[in-house]
Amino acid sequence: MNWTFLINQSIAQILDFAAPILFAALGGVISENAGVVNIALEGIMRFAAFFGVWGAFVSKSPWVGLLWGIGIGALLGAFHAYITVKWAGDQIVSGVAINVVAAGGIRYFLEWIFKTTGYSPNVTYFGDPARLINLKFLENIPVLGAFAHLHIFIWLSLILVFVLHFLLYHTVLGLRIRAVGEYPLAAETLGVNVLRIKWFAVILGSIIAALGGVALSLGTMSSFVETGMAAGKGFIGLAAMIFGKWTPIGAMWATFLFASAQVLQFLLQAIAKGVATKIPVGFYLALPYILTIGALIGVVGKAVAPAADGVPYKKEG
Amino acid sequence: MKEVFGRIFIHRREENWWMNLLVPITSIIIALIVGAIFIASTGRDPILAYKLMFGASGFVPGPYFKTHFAEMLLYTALFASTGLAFALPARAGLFSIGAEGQFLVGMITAAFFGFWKPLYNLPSFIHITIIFAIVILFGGLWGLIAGFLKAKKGINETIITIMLNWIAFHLIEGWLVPTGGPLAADVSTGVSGTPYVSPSARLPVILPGTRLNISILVMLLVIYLAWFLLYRTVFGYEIRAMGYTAITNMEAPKIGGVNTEKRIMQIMFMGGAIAALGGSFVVLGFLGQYPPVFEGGYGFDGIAVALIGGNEPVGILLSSMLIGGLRTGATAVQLARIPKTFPAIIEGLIVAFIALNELIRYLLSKVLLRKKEGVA
Amino acid sequence: MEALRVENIVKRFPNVLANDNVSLSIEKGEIFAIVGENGAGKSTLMKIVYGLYLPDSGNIYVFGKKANLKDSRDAINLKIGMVHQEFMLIPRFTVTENVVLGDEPKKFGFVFDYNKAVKEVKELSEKYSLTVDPTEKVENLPVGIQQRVEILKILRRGAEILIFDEPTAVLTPEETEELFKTLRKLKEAGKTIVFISHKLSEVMEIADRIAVMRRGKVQGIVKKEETNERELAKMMVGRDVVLEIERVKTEPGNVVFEVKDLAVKNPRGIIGLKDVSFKVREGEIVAIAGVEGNGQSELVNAILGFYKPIKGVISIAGKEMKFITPYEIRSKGLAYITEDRKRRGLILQYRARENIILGKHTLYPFSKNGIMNDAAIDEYATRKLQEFDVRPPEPYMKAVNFSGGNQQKIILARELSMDHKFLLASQPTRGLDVGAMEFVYKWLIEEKKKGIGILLISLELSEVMGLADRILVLYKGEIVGETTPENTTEEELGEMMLGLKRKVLQ
Repeated sequence: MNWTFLINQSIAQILDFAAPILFAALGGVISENAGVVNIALEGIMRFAAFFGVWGAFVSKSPWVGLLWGIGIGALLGAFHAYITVKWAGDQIVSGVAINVVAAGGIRYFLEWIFKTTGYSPNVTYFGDPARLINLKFLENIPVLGAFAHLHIFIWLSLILVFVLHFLLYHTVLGLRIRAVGEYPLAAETLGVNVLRIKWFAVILGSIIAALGGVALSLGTMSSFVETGMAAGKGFIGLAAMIFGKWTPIGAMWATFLFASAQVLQFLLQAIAKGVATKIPVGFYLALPYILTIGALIGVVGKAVAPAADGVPYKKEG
Repeated sequence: MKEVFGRIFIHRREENWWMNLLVPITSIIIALIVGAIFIASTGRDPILAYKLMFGASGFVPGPYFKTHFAEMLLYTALFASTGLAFALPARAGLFSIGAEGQFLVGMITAAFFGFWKPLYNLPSFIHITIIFAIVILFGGLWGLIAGFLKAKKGINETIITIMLNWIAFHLIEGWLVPTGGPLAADVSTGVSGTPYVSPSARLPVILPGTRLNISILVMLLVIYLAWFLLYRTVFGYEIRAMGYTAITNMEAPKIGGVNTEKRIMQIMFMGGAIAALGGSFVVLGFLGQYPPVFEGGYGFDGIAVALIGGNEPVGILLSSMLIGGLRTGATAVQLARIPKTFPAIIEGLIVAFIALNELIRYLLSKVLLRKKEGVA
Repeated sequence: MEALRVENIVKRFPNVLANDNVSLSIEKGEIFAIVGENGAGKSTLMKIVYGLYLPDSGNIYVFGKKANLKDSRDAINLKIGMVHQEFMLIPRFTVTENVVLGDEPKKFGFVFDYNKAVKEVKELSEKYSLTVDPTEKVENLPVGIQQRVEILKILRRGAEILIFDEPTAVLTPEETEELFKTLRKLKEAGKTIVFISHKLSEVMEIADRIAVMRRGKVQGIVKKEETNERELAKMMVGRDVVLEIERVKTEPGNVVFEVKDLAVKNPRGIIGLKDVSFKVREGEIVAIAGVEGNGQSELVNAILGFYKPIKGVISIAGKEMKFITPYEIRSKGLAYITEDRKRRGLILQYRARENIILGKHTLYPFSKNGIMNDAAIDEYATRKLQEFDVRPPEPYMKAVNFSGGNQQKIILARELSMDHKFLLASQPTRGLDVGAMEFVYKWLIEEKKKGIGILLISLELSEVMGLADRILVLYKGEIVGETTPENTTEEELGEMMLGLKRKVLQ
């Protein structure tokens, strides 16, 4: 029983599965810390997943695909910001709109562009063994070995956690973002441009969520598959954000918790194949969610959002 | 009675009540226009597309009208169920997106009690009534979990309902239903998924020659009850009071004696029960079983339906008919080389424009004011 | 030298002309007070000066130069600072973060240099003797200290003109004295201070010159030496302010409400009420006087059941209340008039008829078997709205559309029509104009005549002296004075409220 291999593989699986969710969660964190709820993470991920593949297909380069994904993320973010910031529109409604359009619109694009239903052709992708970031020297070290052969998105997601943490808690911009999310009027009276900051946070959040979408279709996989892609990952990201108390690092741990279902299954199958096959796959998959509920009950129940989260900001007078 | 109506009229006008109706309608119109532009920009014919779509939507007389009409009403029942499941808690100030999971719970419950031996041979009326009762109970309980945690522990209902959606999904499609699972059909029968329900559990068809069954009648009753509940009962009075004061921790209703904890749990139960009922329609009406894989999605469309309908029972009826009609017309739209998921784009656009509430009101008031000045 | 001048400022809101051609001029280095009743337009005027509102017309001159104030940034650049009535502080942030927000010391251009910020805040607080702990979270600070943070905020940006909007509304007497000390110090440092208030005694103490506003207009500008409170009041209201309160003598009956050894913690964990005991009898008005923040809200919330007492007993009509919910205590005969009309008193989005039955909505004839009876509700609402002189007496109008005074009348109509033995009236005349105040007093006297026991919590001494049979003074959570209007004076009450005197009957 090669424990090192087992542990490393498990961790690598968590990281891989977690990456898209983490992006979504981080996107939500940034946006909501500035007071704007964005439940369109799901839809943005789908759009980005698709556009990522489209871009890669057209240009034969996954990097261009990445760019396209970022582009659509920015566009959708601008849309959401336009409705919610400029016109102080209902943030939930706007988010739902994006999700609904994503559900139907992407199929439309699939048929129009690729003339297929449900999936796109394969493209060059980041998860391609040739494109992994190889740190061979780590291979045989327990725990660290998990990082030996990961694709770029996984690294990006982790780095982003710390970048956002630094941004929010150690930079001037971060302070202002959080101020805007807590008490926009107070920030306004000090000369902070509340609207501009909200625009920024929403678009940035969308771009980050979009990265998650691209991670899905160009990361481990190499194409866009209609069903199963995103498929709720955006909403899990939302849950991770709430569970992580609207902080980047909290969201990271929450995401790992949710991703651990994969691991559990894998571990159990490796260790106790007999037992493993007896437990229906549904239990593994449901476990993280059950655990989350348990945790919420156990821990002091109230997750506290930024004080002005979800409240449209209207300038008076 | 007339006096009262007149007074409501006067004071609703005070806040431009007709504007509340105009906004969704305008949103729909603009969405259709934008949709047309979109189609045209991808090289298809928008006029043909809309002609086909509406022609097959069940709103407009035409070939196969009876069939389309039936399909439209069937969809209406489904969307209305998940729409209410979002709207009712929303009126109480709760953001519950658990309709998807509750719907699935309803489906599996209906499937099980549909094929369960002891009930198998009961007369249709009794069998279906019993199934409905159990579905309401189980769906309600599924919703109650989130309601209980919110009421007693203050836990965010959004995250709990998201979790419960996934738990329901995985337990059903990862344990109960796959081959070998407790509710799965015997491999020897060649059926995958759950066994088929007894013929006595299938919903009776009310329009011969179509699939239209009693689901729409049941849903109409439910919508009426929802309206009655919200506007004619103490329960509704308290729920709406809670919804209006949710931001301020519901202090005024509490001081007024409202037991907010109880109400939260009750409304979440109701939402879950109604969504589950919708799920049972799918199994007992269309499929006859819980299939190995179910694409779902009715839960999230429910949110859109609720928002377009302004979280009102009557509004939800109308918006479910609209979305139902679009869905029905979707298959026809393919003849114009447009994928049948196109209506979802329209749906999304409508919702988007509803979000632009302020913008639309502003534009409308500009247009209408200008008219007034023109007349003077 | 002239520091600030406003000329012909006009500002209109949907229902009201807030500023009607207002002009005044403020000298550098003076403490200039603007007084007026609620709604007189003083806050609006200053918010315009601070860039939060745009005037419909008029000009503003700062230190002689015409100013174009589009937003607060412009005001800040012109060295104007404002300490708002509702503090613009972010509770979860620390003092330092709040003070430097918008003007943060940076490292490398984008990194927040927190340590430098802390140092800067320390230096500033020492310079103006405004002691604070720069690293403490604002939500953990008492109100008086929070106000210091607000002042530091504006001093940091080099404010030369400091505007204070009703600064003492939330301070204890001690904190008010501290504030005045600070203001005098700032004046010595050459700052110009604009002080908005409706508390005439304070204004007389601290101001050099006073402008009186009424209904959006400036009624007059006087020097402190040339006037007194009575004169100011007359200008503020347009007539003698002495309200006619009918003095009625009744024989107090049985004890209808009692608290014994009550101690209550507030959500911050601070014990706001310590060891309080008193009784209220039928037909008696017991007034609790005190500056806001001395335990009144803890008392009220404990009575209602929102806070759980850490010790002590509350009884109504002889019954001890345990595990109180608002519903329970009301069913035992408590009626409650609140000053917080928007959150506690009414459901703004509900119509008058729906608000007026709140609390009775489960009872016959308004509902039977859970179904509401619209006709009965309409009849009742129409009748009650007339009875309580609500204008307009329209049951179908939404509560939010009524004026403050009429909103309070709706609350009165609802509460006083309940079956009750005990009335808890918490600042029932807050924010009301004189006419509405008289109305409230009239009804309170009616209640007294009917034999209802009334616990009146008030910040206004004239109200206390005019209505009460017995007076209890609350200071720092304890009762430091027990007396009657005959046996005391407003001055003495003031002293007790400031903790300078004790007069407890044995």
